[in-house]
Amino acid sequence: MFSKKSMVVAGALVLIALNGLVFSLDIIRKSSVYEAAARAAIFFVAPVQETLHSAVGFVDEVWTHYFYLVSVGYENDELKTQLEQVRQKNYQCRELALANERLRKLVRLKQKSPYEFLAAEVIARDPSPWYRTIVINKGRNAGIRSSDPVLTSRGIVGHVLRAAAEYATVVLIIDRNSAADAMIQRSRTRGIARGEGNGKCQFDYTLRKKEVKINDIVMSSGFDGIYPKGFRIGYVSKVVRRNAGLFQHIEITPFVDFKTLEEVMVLLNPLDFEEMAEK
Amino acid sequence: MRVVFYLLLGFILIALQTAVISGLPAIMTFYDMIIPFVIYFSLFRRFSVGFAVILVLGLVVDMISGAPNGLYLTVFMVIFFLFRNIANFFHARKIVLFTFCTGIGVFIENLVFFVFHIFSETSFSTSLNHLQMMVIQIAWVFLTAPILYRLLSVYFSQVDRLSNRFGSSYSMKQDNDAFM
Repeated sequence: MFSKKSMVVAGALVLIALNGLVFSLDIIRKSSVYEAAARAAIFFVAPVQETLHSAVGFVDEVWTHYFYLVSVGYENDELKTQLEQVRQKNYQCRELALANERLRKLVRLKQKSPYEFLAAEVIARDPSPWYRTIVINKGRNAGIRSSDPVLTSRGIVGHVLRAAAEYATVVLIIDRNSAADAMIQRSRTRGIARGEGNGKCQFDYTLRKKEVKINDIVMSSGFDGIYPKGFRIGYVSKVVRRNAGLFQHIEITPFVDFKTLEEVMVLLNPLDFEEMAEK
Repeated sequence: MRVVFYLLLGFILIALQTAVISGLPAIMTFYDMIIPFVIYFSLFRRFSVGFAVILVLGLVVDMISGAPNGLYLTVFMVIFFLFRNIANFFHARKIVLFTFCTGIGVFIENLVFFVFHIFSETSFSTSLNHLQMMVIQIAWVFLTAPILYRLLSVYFSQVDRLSNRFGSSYSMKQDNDAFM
């Protein structure tokens, strides 16, 4: 009726069920034979289990601390790149903030002044340290002409030497070929502010009897036909009165920091400045 | 074609000089980058090509500088002619000769400017400042001229190779056209 194979399977199932039934009996579970058999089983199996556990632990360790770290490494690289980008943006923001501050000052100068100004950027300097000129990125097409005064909010920078279509060369007030009719703001003593070529100016032709003090502010007098009256040039940093001679030796330190000059304002139509001032 | 590449390098050097190097702090007062260029032409290149290139560059520098017109051109030409035949008298390795001549070239340039300043009634203290600047520049020459020599040699040899290739392919094309 039943096949031989079916009989074997049924017998095995019966034996397993009987086995479970017998071992679940409390008497047998508490017997010393069972205890001994269990201890023996643990004795033989536990080391294998431990070994396996260690092996799995090792694999897990390798996975989490090596393969995983590879991806962490990639992530780290990416984060570093992002950090660099953020740093770069931060520098750019800081640079923009500084440029903003400088431009605000220029705009304030433009708003306060009755003259017509044109903002320009310094793009190059003189090839030789013997001469002090700069090149700005605005030229004749923007309305700039030769001899136009160039200023910043801090004071006079110089005047336009040559104007090309899109660029202009500006000779700085500290160049030895540059000079401006100037006066001391406090005492109204007049003289000529002449560049020395070393970053400072001399205040020439001031009579010895005229009182000039250190830190006196020197400003343009407006008589030279280039610079309008009242723009600051610098402050008196040295006064030497020799026993002989008609004039005293006065050194002016300009307010403008020519080493860090980046933006300037060109005063357009300076010949009309008296008329503009009257308006 | 070569002249175009030479002028291109010259303009790059002028731009480098005016837009980058001139903005460096005072201690970094670098010498005129055109001087080594002029020296290289004077020592190692054909007269006619060198003369043409130096003439153009001298005029350009004069135009962009605040110096009196013609001053740079004069200085460059003086240096160019002065060192033209120096290799016949001094037998040294090219790099040594180049460095030595560049140092003297920078000295001559500064000397001309210095004399010009003295005649222009500049105060003596100012001129002393410029002398200090000249010493710094010459120190820079001896530090950097050998490197510049290598760079210029590489550039000039590349330009030569390029223009030779162009010249030979051009002449081959002409030959082929003649046969056809």
